[in-house]
Amino acid sequence: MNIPHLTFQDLLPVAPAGVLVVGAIVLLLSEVFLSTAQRTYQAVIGTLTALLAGAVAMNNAFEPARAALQGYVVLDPFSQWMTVLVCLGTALASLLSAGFLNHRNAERGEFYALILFSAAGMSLLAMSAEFITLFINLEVLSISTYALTAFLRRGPRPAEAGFKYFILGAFSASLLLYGAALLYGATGSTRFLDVGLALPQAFAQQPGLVYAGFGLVLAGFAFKVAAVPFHMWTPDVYEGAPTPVTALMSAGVKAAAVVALVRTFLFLVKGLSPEVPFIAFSALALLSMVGGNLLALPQRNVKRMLAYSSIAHAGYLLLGVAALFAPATAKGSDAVGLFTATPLLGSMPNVAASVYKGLLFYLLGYTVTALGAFGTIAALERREDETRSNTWDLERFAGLAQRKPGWAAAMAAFMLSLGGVPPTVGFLGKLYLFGAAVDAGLLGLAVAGVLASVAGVYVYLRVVVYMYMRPAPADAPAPFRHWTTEVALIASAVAVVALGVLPGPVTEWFSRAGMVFGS
Amino acid sequence: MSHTVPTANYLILAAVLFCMGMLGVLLRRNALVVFMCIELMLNAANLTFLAFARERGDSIGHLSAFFIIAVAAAEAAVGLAIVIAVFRSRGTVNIEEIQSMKH
Amino acid sequence: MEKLQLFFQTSPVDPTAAGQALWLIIALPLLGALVTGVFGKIIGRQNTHLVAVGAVGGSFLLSLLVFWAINDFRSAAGSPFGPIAYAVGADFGTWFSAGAFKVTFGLTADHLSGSMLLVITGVGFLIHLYSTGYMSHDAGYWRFFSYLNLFIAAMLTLVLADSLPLLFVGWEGVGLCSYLLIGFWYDDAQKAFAGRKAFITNRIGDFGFLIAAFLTVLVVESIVQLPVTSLSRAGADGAMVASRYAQGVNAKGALSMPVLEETARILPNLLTQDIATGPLTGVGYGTALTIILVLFLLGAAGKSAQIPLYVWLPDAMAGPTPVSALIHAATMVTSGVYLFCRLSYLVVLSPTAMAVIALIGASTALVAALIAFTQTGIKKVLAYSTVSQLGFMFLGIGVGAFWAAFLHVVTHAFFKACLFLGAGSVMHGNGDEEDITRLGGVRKEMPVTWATFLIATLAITGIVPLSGFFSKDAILHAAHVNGIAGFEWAGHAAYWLGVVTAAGTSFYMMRLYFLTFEGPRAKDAKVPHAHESSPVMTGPLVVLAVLSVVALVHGLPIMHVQRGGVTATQALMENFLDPVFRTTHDLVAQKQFLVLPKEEHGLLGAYVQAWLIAVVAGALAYWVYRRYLPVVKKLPAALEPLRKLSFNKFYVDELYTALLVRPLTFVARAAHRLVDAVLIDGVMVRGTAWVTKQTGAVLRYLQTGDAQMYAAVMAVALAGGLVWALLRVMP
Repeated sequence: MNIPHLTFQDLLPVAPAGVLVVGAIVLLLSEVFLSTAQRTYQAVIGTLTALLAGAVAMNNAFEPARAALQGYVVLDPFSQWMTVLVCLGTALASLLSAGFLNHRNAERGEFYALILFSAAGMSLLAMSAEFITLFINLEVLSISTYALTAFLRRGPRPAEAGFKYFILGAFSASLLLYGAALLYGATGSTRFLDVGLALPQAFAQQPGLVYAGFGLVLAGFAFKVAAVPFHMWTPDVYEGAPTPVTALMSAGVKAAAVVALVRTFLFLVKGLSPEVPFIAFSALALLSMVGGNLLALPQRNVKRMLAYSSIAHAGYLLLGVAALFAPATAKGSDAVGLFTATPLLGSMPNVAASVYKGLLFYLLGYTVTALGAFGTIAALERREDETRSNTWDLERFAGLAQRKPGWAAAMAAFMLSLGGVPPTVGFLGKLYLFGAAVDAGLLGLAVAGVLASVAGVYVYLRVVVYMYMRPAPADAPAPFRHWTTEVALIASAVAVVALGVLPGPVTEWFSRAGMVFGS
Repeated sequence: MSHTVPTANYLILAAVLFCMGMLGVLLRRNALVVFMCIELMLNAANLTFLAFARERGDSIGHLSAFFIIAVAAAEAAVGLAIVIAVFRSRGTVNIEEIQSMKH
Repeated sequence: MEKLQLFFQTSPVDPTAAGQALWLIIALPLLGALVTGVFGKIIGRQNTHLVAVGAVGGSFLLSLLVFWAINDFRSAAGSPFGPIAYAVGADFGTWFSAGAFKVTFGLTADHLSGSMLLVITGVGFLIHLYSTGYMSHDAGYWRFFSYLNLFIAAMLTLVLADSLPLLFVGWEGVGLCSYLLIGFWYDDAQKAFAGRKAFITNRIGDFGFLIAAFLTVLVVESIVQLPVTSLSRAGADGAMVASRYAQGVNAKGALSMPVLEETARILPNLLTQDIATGPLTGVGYGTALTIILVLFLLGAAGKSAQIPLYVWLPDAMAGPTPVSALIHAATMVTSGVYLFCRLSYLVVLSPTAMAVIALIGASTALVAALIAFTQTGIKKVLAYSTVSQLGFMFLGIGVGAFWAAFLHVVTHAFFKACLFLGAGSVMHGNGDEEDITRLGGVRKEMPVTWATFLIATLAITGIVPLSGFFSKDAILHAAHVNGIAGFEWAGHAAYWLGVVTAAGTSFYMMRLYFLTFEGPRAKDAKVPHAHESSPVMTGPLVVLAVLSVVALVHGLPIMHVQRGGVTATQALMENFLDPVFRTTHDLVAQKQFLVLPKEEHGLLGAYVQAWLIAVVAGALAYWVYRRYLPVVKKLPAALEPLRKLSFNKFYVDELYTALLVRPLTFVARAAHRLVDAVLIDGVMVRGTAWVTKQTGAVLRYLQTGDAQMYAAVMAVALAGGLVWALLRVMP
């Protein structure tokens, strides 16, 4: 057996994760050796580490796409940009956590270390190109988030949320693993490149085995992405987890899972009849877009509402994924249906580039928006109401515009962005994704998505209406003040508007050629 | 060896284990038992890897099993801690009673 | 004289630099909105006033400079189809692009948008100033000024945008501000409902706008795909047209104004052909254009309160009076007219659309005037009068008198703002009394308000030397002499409707004036004596009254131009807007869809006729309300049903309720019975939304909180998917 010869070039893709892990270890050690009462410095270390890792990843993002570490991971702009997004989300989440934990006397180095570990897991997950690597990184990410979810052990809700997340997460991970085992059996390899090469023949011989493997792996990913009907854990876990963790889960975990899903299935669909993956993704997208928005409608609990909204946003992302896997040959004058691709101009243009750009831009927009929205909620929570049922009720937002105009304006920007109203980043993200879907000919699905998102706008506007047009209740809590929270919220709000008005440079970066290795 | 067990038998055993684990997760009410059933599912996947690796005679499948065992152990540690936290806050590990957040 | 002309044609700033700086005009009020919105409470009332008024004032000064620059003989805005004379503008790069579709951040000020700039910032400035007095006791002052500044910014975006998407941003922005300001006193349920009504009505219109824009993209893209041989336009051969057109679409995007103008130049030879590529395959270009224009009309009808979407505007008077003056009279509601002036080159290519626009406009004008006859709220009368005047403007668009319609926009902005502010002043001085039957005799007590109100009233009724006369008469004149090819009857019908409405206008406006200002004070008046408003409120009134007189200059036929060897006389505004409508004029000459009169008609007869109508109708109002009714006390019984019909606004609101809202509510309630009775409020307007919401409410109970059930759902979904996939491969 040959000893692998590693070069610096091979380690380049995992460098951001390395930075994150080192930062996490520093934070763990700080908890042992520096025990001061004031622990805001830990949040600062966490933020700086995340930003440094992001800078490293951004530097990597301009490298040409290639396989590294003997094909176990890949270095391509898609995964590296995703790492940048995750690091951005992590930085904002640690800033938000400082005030949140401080208010609850729960500031601990482990918390930030876990955040960084989970970010490292996300980054590695996005670049994994082998099933066992994928599984290990998925577990690194998941185990950290299980622990983070249940971090505030005192209350009943975090423990319950952690428990549900753990049981269902482990369940779905074992589905994925079993699927990987079946595909290994069918193709004789776990590396995506080899799996892709061997799949056509394996499919011809044992279609049942390949389909079972395909379905199980897809179920595992659908759980992480929170696509309907694999979504049911989302509202409960999101509600119970500490709010900054929820923010990180909704943005980072989802981003990593979507990118890993695209990477995995780019190889796995080879040899399958093209309609099957396309219809599978279309169905998941449709159910998530419609289900997420419908379920969000009756919610008065804003945190839960945002959880459902994140399901709907997963649906929009899956719409982009479905566009990627749309059958390339159009059947001429096909009737427009929900699960058919009818390119407008008869032939399908090369949509892959616009899908990657759309996905990344959407994830960027969703990261800053969701972090900001959950951050505002976190700031309005009171430690005393951990056991109350109306902690996140809409009523909490009534009259916020009078009490805290700046916060209300920021929250309004986040809500409009989630609803996809110009001039926010959410609008442009939707525009790119739906545009790519229409280019690929997914007219029916795109129309369904637009209709669903119109229903969703009502949900977000309701928060705005409460903030601006309802008088404040007498016992309305004032948001607690902590400079880290304010910095994070201002940064997100500015990003939401600025990216919505001037997406130019960012989209320029995201539309580089050779975005994804192997596509 | 002339009396080797065919690979198919291993695979069927793994599939049966997997289904048993899955049914256990879906039906058993004790959190700890559910937890063990998940381990069963993971080990079914492990057995599948090993069976295929043995048939093909390559090392990847064997290596995978080791990694999976290690990861499962890490997961078990966190999982048990969470179960203990649940038990502390509610005094029970019956899943039927861990449903305060819904709708 | 020539020196003076030279002075006005040489701007102190370089036109190119003025174009580059256009964004500043929008940025100033936007910044003002931000500062007053975020810090308004901290910096105090005085500073908020200073910031808000200062931002709009600064914007006004910049607009003046820009206006000067676009009159400069050197000014020309860049466009892929060659420079546009008498315009400044700049492209600030790509805003966004999705696939082949691209939108740039381009702003352009030409003579049309330049005039709008002055109206918006000028009238806006006066109204801001007035508001500092009017809102002096309101606790939400900072919110108010923030919205108002935001509105100005959005409206400026609307007029400066050189592409439809950017215009739509402004379009939505003004809608949002309007909605926020109507519901400004949101603790009053009725006012909040008025806000919602405006919001929903406008959404219907916006839907039309969006579909129209989408169809336009498809048409433009199909033209790009056309073979070179089928493209031609006056002054260029096919290959050149095709390459320039493709370049233009590439550089500026399919929905930018230069591309649309070039499209209009190409379209005349294509009108009878069918579209060959894209989803519209098989539809004729002419049909597609008509559909697009009618959909744009739906959008404009929502924003500019035309039949069938006018119902929101009268209710919108629930907002503070300065808002009614600025948004619901002077600026926002005219954006539909502005849109059609911008797209005039497309309008003149479709006689059907022209006829529809003219008839919609004329009937709106008449219906609104009839309703205004019997309303008793001072602001209600003015609101219906606004709807009616907007109808006149659409009538002007429909008969191809774009300049006249736009002139009416300008003059209407002055006198209607003056009237609304005057009404606000009257209410301010009379204990917020709105009912004109309980006012009266205010003349002596509020002399400044009285004088300015009278001038504005005379202007709107069309008494000769005042501005309203010239603009309204220009529209009616055009309706009289211009013929829409194939739809001459529509032009005639619109003309006669217009004449009747003009008489009606005079009647209800004089009624309003006499009841409010003349005669004895009503017995049941709220306060025994009115008090005149403060100078900060009367100042803007005086300026606006002066403007509504002075604006007559624009309507004077004093410009002489050479047209094909003949000296023609043009009104000042017509001459001024000539560069804007050059393509339109060329297309009219080429296609003859609009039949212009061969020779000039004498204007004197028309002047006398219009004057007579106004005076007779006004005198009738005087006789009825000052001589007849005070004595008789009661209308003749024969007229009572008519009065009731008009007073109840022809029961249109009730009709909409019966035809649209009720059925939706019924559906919703049927579903409601099936579910738990939880929500009943808010159903009236949103039947469908309600059903959707209930579906969600049912679905949420699937979310039992049981982790095992969640896992079971996943397992079942997975198994179902696998079975489906296997069934596909295994026969």
